[in-house]
Amino acid sequence: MSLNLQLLNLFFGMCRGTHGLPLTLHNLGYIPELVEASFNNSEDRPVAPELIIASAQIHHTVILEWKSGANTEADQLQRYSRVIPADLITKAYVHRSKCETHDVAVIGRDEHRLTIPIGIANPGYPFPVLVTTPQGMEIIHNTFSSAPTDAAFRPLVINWDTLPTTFFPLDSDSALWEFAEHAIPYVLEDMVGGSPRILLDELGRRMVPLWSRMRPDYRGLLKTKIQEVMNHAAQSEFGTHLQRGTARGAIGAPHWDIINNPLVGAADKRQKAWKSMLKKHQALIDYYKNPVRQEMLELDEGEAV
Amino acid sequence: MSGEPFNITFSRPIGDLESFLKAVFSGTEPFRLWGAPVAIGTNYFRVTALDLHVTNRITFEVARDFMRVYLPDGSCGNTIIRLYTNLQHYYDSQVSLTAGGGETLF
Repeated sequence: MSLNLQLLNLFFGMCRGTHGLPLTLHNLGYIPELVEASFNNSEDRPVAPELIIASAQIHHTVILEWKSGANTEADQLQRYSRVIPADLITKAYVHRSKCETHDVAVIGRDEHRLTIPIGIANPGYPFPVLVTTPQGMEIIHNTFSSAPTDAAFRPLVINWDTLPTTFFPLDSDSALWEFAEHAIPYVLEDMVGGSPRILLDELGRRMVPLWSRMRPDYRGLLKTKIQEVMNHAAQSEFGTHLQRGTARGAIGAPHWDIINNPLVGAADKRQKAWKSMLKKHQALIDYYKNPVRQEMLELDEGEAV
Repeated sequence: MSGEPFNITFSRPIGDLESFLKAVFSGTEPFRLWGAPVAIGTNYFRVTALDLHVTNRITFEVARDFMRVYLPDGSCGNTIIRLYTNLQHYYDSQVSLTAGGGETLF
């Protein structure tokens, strides 16, 4: 799982209240406000934090930016330094009761603990800098302006091995087996409902939270991966049930027709069909987990060799 | 997006997690939960499942001592009660069900 997905799931889990995670942020009243959204600062320049969490209970907002690399970007930090409460209220739509004070927090990897603070310390930005550690997370530079929030991270103890993964199950870095794992249950759910076809865009909307609010180019990366696993499924494991449709046809969008649906038959046949579907789903996941899998070469509109 | 996952805590760690998951998510009685468990860590699995009673999606994260349960919007709340009852009846009589904030539900 990418650092982005790990941290998104971690903060969602901590704010919502999730077994196995500290409840400090939950008990302080924090809720996730915005994910991967862009808004302009007081100088009308864009900032695009990974996540904003805010609490009406302690009237505080935290703007979270994470860095998988070793360095920060000077221009990006400068833009964050010009975010004022009015921007949060009028442009990011955080309720005014939640942003009497705010912090911009930068989170990096443990191995970059020496380099990440450099771009923040030299201009003297007050942003708290945190790093992930094997035991959780800790503040290595500056402090949160909210004392109870600061205390929550000194240190934050987390078991990374059992992190929640379901608030945000997929991003553009997710492996194809993860897309296969998540796509097929939606397909089967639709088959039980008697749907005649699966539309790519509709499938993506159900698989990935905030689908319609994503940048089109980013959504395109996800669509490519969904399309790849669905095309493979329709050509192999689920070939007797699904047929790849063409974007040029009457539907006018990428889709897969359901050509054989044993999940709407008699009860005894349905039971057998579910058993068979489980094997097929497992086989599809295993195919994509296999590092030396044999790729199918596509010729044109569904043909493959 | 809103809500929090339910949590089921077992009174003792599950001995053979893979066999347990295979039995619970086979799609057959008594659980009638369908899903392919995938390992996402050491002794930590995710199951993107379907409850065949109502054919609703439901996602699980399962470790040896707990099970997080994510019911998506619009799914049937009976699913969680049925799961809890079946686990209590067939697997662990002292299993407990809590909300995300730790409040005991059953």
